[in-house]
Amino acid sequence: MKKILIILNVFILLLATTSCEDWLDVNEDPNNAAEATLELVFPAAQASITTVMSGELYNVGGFWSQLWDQNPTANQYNGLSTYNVTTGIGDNPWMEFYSGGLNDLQYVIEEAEANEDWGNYLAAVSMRAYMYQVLVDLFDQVPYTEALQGTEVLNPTFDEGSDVYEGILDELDEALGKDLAGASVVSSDLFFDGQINTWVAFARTVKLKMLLRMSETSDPHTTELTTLLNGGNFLTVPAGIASNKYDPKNQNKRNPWYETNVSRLSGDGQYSINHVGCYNFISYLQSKSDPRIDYLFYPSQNSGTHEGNWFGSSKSNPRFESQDDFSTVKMAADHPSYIMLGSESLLLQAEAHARIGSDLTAVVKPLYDQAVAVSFEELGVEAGAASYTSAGGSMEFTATTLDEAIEQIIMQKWVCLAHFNPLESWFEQSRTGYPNISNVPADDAAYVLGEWTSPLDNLLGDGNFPHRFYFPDAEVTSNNNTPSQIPNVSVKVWWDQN
Amino acid sequence: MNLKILSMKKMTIFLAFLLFVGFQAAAQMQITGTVTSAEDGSPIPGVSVVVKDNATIGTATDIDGKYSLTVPGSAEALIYSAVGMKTQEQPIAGRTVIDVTLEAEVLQMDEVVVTAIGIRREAKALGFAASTFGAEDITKTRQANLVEGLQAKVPGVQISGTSGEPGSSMTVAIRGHSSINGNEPLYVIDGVPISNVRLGSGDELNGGYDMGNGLNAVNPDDIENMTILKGAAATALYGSQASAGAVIITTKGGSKSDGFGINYNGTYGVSQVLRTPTFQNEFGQGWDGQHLLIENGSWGPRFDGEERVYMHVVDGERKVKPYVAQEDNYKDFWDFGQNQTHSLSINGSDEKTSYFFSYSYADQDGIYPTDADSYNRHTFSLRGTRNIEKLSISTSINYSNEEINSVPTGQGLTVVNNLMQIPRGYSIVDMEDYNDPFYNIDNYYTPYGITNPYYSLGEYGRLGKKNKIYGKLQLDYEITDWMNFTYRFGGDVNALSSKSYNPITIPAEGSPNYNSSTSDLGRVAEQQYQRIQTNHDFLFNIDKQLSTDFRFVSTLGYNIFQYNTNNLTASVDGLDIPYFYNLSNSASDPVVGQRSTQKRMLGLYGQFEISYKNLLYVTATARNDWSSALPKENNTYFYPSATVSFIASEILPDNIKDIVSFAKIRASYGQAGNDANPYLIDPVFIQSSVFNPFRNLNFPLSGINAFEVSNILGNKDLQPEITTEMEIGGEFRFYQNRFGFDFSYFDKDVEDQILALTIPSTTGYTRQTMNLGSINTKGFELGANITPVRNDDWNWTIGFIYNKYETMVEELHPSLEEVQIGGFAGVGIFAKVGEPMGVLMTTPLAETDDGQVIVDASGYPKSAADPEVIGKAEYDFTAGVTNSLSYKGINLSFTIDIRQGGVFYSRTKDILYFTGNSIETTYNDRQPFIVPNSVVEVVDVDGNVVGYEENTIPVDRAHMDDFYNNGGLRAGENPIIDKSFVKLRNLSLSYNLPSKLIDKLPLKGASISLIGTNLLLWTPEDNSFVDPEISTFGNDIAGMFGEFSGTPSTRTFSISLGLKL
Repeated sequence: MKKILIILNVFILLLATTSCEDWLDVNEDPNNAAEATLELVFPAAQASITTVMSGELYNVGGFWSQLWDQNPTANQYNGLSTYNVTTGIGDNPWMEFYSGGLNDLQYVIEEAEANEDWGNYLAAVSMRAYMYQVLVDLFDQVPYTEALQGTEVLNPTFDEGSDVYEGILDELDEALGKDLAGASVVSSDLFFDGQINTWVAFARTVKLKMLLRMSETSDPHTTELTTLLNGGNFLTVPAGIASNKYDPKNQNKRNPWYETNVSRLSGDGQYSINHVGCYNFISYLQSKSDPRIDYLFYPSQNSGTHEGNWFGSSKSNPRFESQDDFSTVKMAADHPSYIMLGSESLLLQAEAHARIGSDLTAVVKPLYDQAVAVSFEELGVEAGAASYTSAGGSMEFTATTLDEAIEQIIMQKWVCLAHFNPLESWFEQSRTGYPNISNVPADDAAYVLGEWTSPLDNLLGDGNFPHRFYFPDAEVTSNNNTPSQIPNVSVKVWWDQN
Repeated sequence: MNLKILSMKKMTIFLAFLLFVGFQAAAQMQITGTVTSAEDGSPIPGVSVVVKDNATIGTATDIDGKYSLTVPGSAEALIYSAVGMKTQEQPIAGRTVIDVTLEAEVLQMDEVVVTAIGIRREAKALGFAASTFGAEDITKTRQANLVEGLQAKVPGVQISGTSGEPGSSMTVAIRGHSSINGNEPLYVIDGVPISNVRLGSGDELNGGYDMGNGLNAVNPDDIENMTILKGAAATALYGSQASAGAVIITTKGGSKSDGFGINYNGTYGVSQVLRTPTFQNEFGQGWDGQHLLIENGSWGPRFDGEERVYMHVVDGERKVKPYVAQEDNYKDFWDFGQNQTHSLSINGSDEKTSYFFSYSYADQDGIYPTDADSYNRHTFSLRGTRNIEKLSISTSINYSNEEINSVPTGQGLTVVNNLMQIPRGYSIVDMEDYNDPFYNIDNYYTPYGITNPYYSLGEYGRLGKKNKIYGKLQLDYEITDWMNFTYRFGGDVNALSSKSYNPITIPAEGSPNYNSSTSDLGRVAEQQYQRIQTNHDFLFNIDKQLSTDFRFVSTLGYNIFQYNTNNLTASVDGLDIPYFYNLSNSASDPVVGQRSTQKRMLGLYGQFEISYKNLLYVTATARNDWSSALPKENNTYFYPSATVSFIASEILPDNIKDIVSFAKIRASYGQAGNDANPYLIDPVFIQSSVFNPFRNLNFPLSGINAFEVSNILGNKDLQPEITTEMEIGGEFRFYQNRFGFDFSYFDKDVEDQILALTIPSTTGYTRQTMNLGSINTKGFELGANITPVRNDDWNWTIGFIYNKYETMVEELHPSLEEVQIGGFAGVGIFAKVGEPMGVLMTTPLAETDDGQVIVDASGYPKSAADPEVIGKAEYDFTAGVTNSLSYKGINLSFTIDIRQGGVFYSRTKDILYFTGNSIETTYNDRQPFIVPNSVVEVVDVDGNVVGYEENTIPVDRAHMDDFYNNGGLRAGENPIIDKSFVKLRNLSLSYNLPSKLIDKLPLKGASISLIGTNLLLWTPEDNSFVDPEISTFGNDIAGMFGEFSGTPSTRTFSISLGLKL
């Protein structure tokens, strides 16, 4: 009995002492960090943006701006080339933007604001603006005012695209209006190595792009556009992850499109087995004798010349039977992931000037010419650009009306963006109508080179084109406030008045 | 259901001596004989032998089962009876030697059941449902896995295999799936909780594998008995860990009456594929109706018997064969599997000591050709007890070593995926030599992401090694005759490792498959996982007769439990040296993962039982838990339970007792708490890895590291999950147990379920651990036994079980209608408010209000825009029928497992639609047709649907593949099919050598059995594809989702020999 009493006493001691609580205090996660720093989180957000833009969206953009087509002897992207997409098409970009990039930027913005660290604040706000702009352009309505609040708002409501645009333009203005004297950006900045001035230029160029995106709406923001243009200071270098930041020999550290399409889906072959050049783009480049073609495509293995496929010809009516008959997409493992280009910036300025009535020859043409030259640099083209843009050159700026100017600028932008961000060309076509839509198939004698064609197998119905993504499945199933699903992707977004 | 008592013989001796000491009888005729057990031929001591109609004349058998009785000349018959055995009457008919074989009683009234914390209680005192099985039930069908033999035999318990692969895991669900959080029961061996961790791949879609769970390490021959506790009141003392029920296993320990003994069991079996899909045999290779020799499907022209070329040209040569179907090409691929198990045990005892040693060996090779699917297990057990006056010390130590070779499943270059995409005209076995230039990876007929299945089988590896040591040290001290103290230490150490590799598969440059999607740069991945679990129980037990009528039984206990896990994974892609599978063999840096966890729990509990005569038992329990995994403010929680058991038969009039042998009514109410996994409270930052299809972007990048805000949001307000369960039930037996049944009805609410809930990514996070509202389950379970024939030679019993559950998700988070539990994007298994727990959802076939099918511009049925519930994953009901027929030493028994209702996802169906290999793709003989009763949408300029008109667009030959790839007549819901099945689960024919023969051999017993398992399978017409029981998504509710090109299940034929020395 004594023993039992001793043991019982031990029980009581065990329970009564506070060591019990200490013994239980083992719930700090050893696998993840409890604390991080702005310097560590900032590049994570940058990688989210570039991976989405240069990976999955680069791929969709390439199909939908008719740069390339599905190789008829493979299947991976049949849906993209025939406009037969599932409602889940936007899931990955959506999730990576909101829960991958924007939530990290939220942390960076809050940290920076608390420390009045306006350099990092501006950089984060401008990236946030860029991401929201892409989201609105893809999905029209997106959560904005109620987004990114964790469990405070479990079902964020969707804001109208125009309201999101106004909101982020205000955010950009507010961030640009901070005292940036002596401000700096973290050295872990993958885009601009911490150059605050470049970030200012980036923020202003994002704003320029967004103002132009509203050009066809009832409120084209002409005054703001003029003010912004007059202030100058736009991006002159590309924004994104440069080639030297990737490691071509190391998986998981390479260009995302290469990683998916060349490495994973093509067994690390030389090129993607799913992609062949599209006739519409290839023949346009050829018609302009554009030397950039050899930087964008490998020529056909069989003919040694550049050959594109009839867009969306699927399996039944391809131009050739074998991939070896077509040009294939040229992509290096360390290809840079640029989300905005110097050439793009110049073309945006050119268009903006044209729209506010600046002189086409004196103001717009030099910007256009310079854009082509910068594009050649961006692609590493050895030939000089001047011979192509000077009088009589194949890419000479000859516009005499606003409409002609816009057409030439947008057609040029189609080529400039091809290797970096063709999604933007697809948006711009929806906005401006350029490249033109052909009424006839590409093999028709009446076909005008460079025009976009309805896929030969068009699951949206002949003559229809996609103008946006479906609301993501992932959001539909988890957020009760997601608007009703759209009937198909040819529905237009708010700024698309074309 | 076959219930047995624990120490039957011991009690029999005791009772017999008590009752019959001092009997005297007039000597007129002496009868002698031996009483042996029908089960194993061993002598039974303590059997009462009395003269019929004169019970005052009798005796009892001695330790060797022998008796000698002098009876009056008028005596006509003797009656032999013993506790736990069926009473037998033998006419004397002038005999002086009467040997008797007694059979075990089917249902025992005074049996003892091991309940929670190892507390032994009289079965009749239990106010809740518990099912107990003896060694024979568990090992009768000689399976390597200890729960497999109980399929369709346990009321309230569903036991399923996941595939036919040797060493794969088993799923046990007690009373359905009522928690989103987890439904795995607690396994307890000799009072010590044991980890059932599964070694498998998290990527069920791409090269998934299943190397079994922790309980596979247990040798079924070591088990004395197993009790399954179902409700919250039954498991309340175990606390958090047993919120989904508990399986209490007691191992053999060498009981005292046995003396010295050696047992051997050996089994040899062969297995074969159980279910193959029903293929079409009308159309051959091609696509779009064309005969194309690189296509991975049968969308070509109709077989015509003409000689045609096939495969690629190799060195100017070409293969030619008649264009005909190879009807059994898939079936012929599968080989006979082989398995053998041997187990040997030695036990012994004297007055104070008992010991038990066992060794077992299992060796299995599955139905894939080659031994790429094989399982090898050694187990060692050593147990002993020693009594030193009032102290008893018992120990148990068990070691097991398992090696598993597993064949990956899912999409890509897996064997099953390759097999499903071979045109119907191809002989598969002809391709066995994958180095043959026609069949190698360079020249295999198709470049479309698949290759020769024999190549995948021969070159892809998934190897697992598992070591497990578990055991206990227990001290029991008898303080007084009504009070004792127990301390028990238990430990369970698991070391698992796996290695998986994919070979470098790059078709040679210039070969037909060069630069195709049938390429793989090679990969090697290693995993090292350790789990160490320790458990201390301090128990203070009281068993006091308070008065003649009242008895008080109580246990007070304190429990300390903790586990640590450490998991290291590393993989590299892109190998340099072929066939060298080492992490160094790549220019890429290895991708490394590390995760360690620790959890600690304390529990203080008590159980108090008061009984009145043998009539009424009232029990109350209470437990308080402290968990390290909950926020400090909420880390302690208390839950009570109470049960009542009323033995109505005690007060029945005698004339009714002749009919009603036993009647018990029971009721219970109980709560059980359940905590969370560790580290769900605080927000964290994780090293950045950015999603990119097929391969993420990982930091560090060019010397810059990055951390991102974790997408899983911590929850500082996390509460324990509480289960509240009410149960009523009864046990009734009639006509000396010739007929009996046991039923339970329960109503269970699981509230505040803890789940990492998928939340909209627009919140900035993708998941948060939350307390999520409640799920209600109502269920009815019935177990019944009938013995239509019982006489000296013949015995026929029928056991029947029936389970029906209705689970309802009553509430989730206020703003949530459903959460996805498993599956993948587009189709998954969900918990949805107002629906049964676990429903399969996807976009259904689009129909008009009138039920007409809406087709798209191609004339194919459309899927509706929004996902809907297609069906529930749980069965409507499950039932089992076991027949057991014995004649003298011969026993024939078989079990039928019936599961009705429910749906599952079948990728096999999906891929056979895609490839046109399914019989269902020959609808309308592949002649053009218009989808029956179909309409097209009439759309206005804005794209709104304003009406419907009759569909006139036929599906033609050239687009039939697209039609079926689109899901055929059922569009998006096509791969979701009926889960019902009926299986002839097992059939065994055994023969126990008669004692006459045994006596002449140096043996105590011998038996030989022929056993078949999973012999027959019936499925509804809807399912011409797979065994619906197979699963590739793990063992919990997510596993109810279905199969993603899993390995088929098997049927097995075995022969088994048992010897007792």
